[in-house]
Amino acid sequence: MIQEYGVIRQMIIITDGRSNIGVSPIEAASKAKEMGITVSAIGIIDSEGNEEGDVMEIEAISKAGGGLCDYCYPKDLGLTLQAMTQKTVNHTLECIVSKQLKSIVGQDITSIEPKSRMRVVEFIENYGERVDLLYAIVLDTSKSMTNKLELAKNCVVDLMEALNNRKGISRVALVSYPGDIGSTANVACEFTTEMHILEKGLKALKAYGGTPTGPAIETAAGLIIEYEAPAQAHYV
Amino acid sequence: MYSVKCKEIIGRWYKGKYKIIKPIGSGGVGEIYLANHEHRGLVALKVTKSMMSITKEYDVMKRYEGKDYIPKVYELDDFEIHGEIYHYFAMEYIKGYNLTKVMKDSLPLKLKIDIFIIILQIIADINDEGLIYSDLKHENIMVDERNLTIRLVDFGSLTQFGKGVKEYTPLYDRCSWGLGDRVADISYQTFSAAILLMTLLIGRKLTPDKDKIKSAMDILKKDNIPKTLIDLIEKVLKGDIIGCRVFLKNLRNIDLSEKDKVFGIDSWLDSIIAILVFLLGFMLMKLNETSFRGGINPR
Repeated sequence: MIQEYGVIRQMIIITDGRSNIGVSPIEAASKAKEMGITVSAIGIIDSEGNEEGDVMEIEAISKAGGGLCDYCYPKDLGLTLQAMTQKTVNHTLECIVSKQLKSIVGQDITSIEPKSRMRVVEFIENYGERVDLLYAIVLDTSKSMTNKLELAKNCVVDLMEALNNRKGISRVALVSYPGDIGSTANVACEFTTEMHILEKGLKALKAYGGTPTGPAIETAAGLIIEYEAPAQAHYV
Repeated sequence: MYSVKCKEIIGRWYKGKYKIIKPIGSGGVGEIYLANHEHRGLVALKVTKSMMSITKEYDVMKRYEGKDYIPKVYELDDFEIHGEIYHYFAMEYIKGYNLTKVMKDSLPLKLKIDIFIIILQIIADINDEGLIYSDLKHENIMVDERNLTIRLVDFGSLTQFGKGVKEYTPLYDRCSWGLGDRVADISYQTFSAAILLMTLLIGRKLTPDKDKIKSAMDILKKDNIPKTLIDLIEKVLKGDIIGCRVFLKNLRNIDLSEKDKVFGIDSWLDSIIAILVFLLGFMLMKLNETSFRGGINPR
């Protein structure tokens, strides 16, 4: 039924502030969505209090990217990141299945009586466990993240551990922004299933500079498309 | 933070009519409201935008409806406000308090152990169905004020043996303590139960950290708790004792004081539960005359 969606392409942005350099992140997220990538975002709430604009931007990014958004205090980042990952994978599958249902019987899931939804839910869940995943983590390493970066690194490691418990193959890549020597974003780790490779990429990250969220989204989207391009024949 | 701002909702499919009274809790997957149904009276409504999680939770609560520690559930339905579709189910409203209160009150050790034994039996019963209650925590365990029984709330975390654990709270999570992976197996469950007992005994929660289980055990030792009991908790945490029934058996064999032995609660279980929990309720009321905060799952 959904063989053509053999791989789920996701991107998650972890940030504590508003973008201030380069292309609009909302535009970048919307372009990524057109490429079949779901863009979600987590906003870390600072004790000093974030501005309303920060919150609105995260919501706008995830809306444009067809994903979900959430906020959390630094101490809850690990749980939020994992819950969000599971939710967004299921959300993407739900959208796909819903679209398929609509094309076959002219109804989406919410037009099925609640009593009868369990079978669809079970299907999505089982599929979610087995489907392969390309997951780009887009991590804000701007100066304001200084105190939170170590924690965020641990959360990324925890997430990888959790993803490795799935039955499907999960490939994780890490994009940090801003990038080295004046560039806007940096591929800290290419798609991998190996924990030690991801850890090596994480280790090198340091917090400094501004917040070019938009360009970072573009970099991550490019990484996903590039990764898939040579393997395209495999999925068709 | 609560998303349902309207005063009344009507189910899209089954036309249940509810007057929203107040929000009473929120969890990882939804918000809980106290509401008044036109015929049933007071109910708790679990409301979320996540169709998948609520459908699953409803399904499992319905499947094990007969069990007395599971709140009765009514219908699963949708409603719409401001063009957004929400999903909800209605369930029995449990008036009472959660185990956090029991933890904080200074009750006799034996009483705390007896309460824990009841909880452990419930968890063992769930495990017998091939399921792990991965988000075991004080907030999810309620003392029902009306008949003084123990009820569980929030069944979103029930996970089949062998699957990855997706809903958990770090304090009770073996992985957060650096003592194992996050997979729903019987030892994951026993670990969380041991943490529940530990925090119940010391009367406060701890912050989990990798390689910090030893300092947690030291706190227990300072607290004047019988050594045999500490040894048992340590064995469970280390994975030397696996399975709630084995834990239970070991717990019952512990001599808590020279004269006063722990009851065997095999055949007269029901009456003992009633008496114990009644005692608990009575003591709590004496200790704390302030009105109980009713509600399901306040976090």
